[in-house]
Amino acid sequence: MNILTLIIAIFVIFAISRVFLRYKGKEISLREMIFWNFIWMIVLIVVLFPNLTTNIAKIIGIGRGVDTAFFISILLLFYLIFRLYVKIDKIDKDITELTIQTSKIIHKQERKR
Amino acid sequence: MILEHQNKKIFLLIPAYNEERKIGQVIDSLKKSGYHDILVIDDGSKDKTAEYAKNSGAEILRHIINRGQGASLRTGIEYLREEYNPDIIVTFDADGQHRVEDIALLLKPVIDNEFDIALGSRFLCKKCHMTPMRKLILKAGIIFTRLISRINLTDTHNGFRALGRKAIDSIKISHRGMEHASDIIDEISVKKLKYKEVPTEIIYSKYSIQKGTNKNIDFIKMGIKIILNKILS
Repeated sequence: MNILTLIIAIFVIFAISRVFLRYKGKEISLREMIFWNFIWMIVLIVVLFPNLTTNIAKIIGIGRGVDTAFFISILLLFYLIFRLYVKIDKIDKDITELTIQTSKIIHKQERKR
Repeated sequence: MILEHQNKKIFLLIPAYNEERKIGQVIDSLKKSGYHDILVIDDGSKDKTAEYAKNSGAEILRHIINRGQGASLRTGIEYLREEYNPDIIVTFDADGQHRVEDIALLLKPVIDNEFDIALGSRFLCKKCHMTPMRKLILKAGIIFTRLISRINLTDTHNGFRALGRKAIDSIKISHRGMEHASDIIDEISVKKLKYKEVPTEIIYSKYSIQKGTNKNIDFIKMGIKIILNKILS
């Protein structure tokens, strides 16, 4: 095991512990906890067993194992950006709804006074 | 006081954001012309827009934070429906770009029950002049709307409109920003509302042109947002 592998492995274990802590603190749901830990476990496996990616690369027809890791990482990143976009959009809509409804409620209360 | 025009309850709805320099004048000119039912939605202004509008005698609803023109119109239309049951709502800009005299032209087709909604068009107005950049962006908006909503209009992003009862009850504004203009056109198309474009003049003052520079960027952002929403929804 070289130093880089060790650093990445320690980082991944740290990330997994953070995911657990966030779940414990009820900041993320069980589904999100499983999803993120799954992602980090894959990273850990790829780091610890780099030859595995070469085998996958051969199966899906991409030259080198490293290329496969990059390819899958980019796909995952795009998916995560999409998820973030959808979530932010929903939060934005919720804030608008809150603003509209509160402005009406406050005004109606002021009129009654 | 409700303006009775052929027994119709007509309300002026003005979305406003940081318009302290113009809002008082706009409300005064509307009142002088006999339009006393004016609702201003102060969209989280950082200046004294709400104070000046209130002093001029308009009814004010305030957004705690800035949410955009679409959200302001939604607030206004929902509130008027809940409280006054209006026959017609005229949407009017707060920056003094619209002419009070044109309101009667917009109202006519709706009052006569010939159309559900009347839309102001600066391109049908022969006297109207605008900066080449603004003209280019607006023309692009027209082509874009024709492709997306399949509805032929000469001016797709004019905030000057008169909504009759059917339009008030059926139009749903889903975008909070400038994109609401496309929502309204989509709704006209989907709900099969009878619409008419009316030539209305736009007064391009130094003030409105200055504000319009920002609007040009907003138009481009708006196009991107509409495309993204069409893809993702």
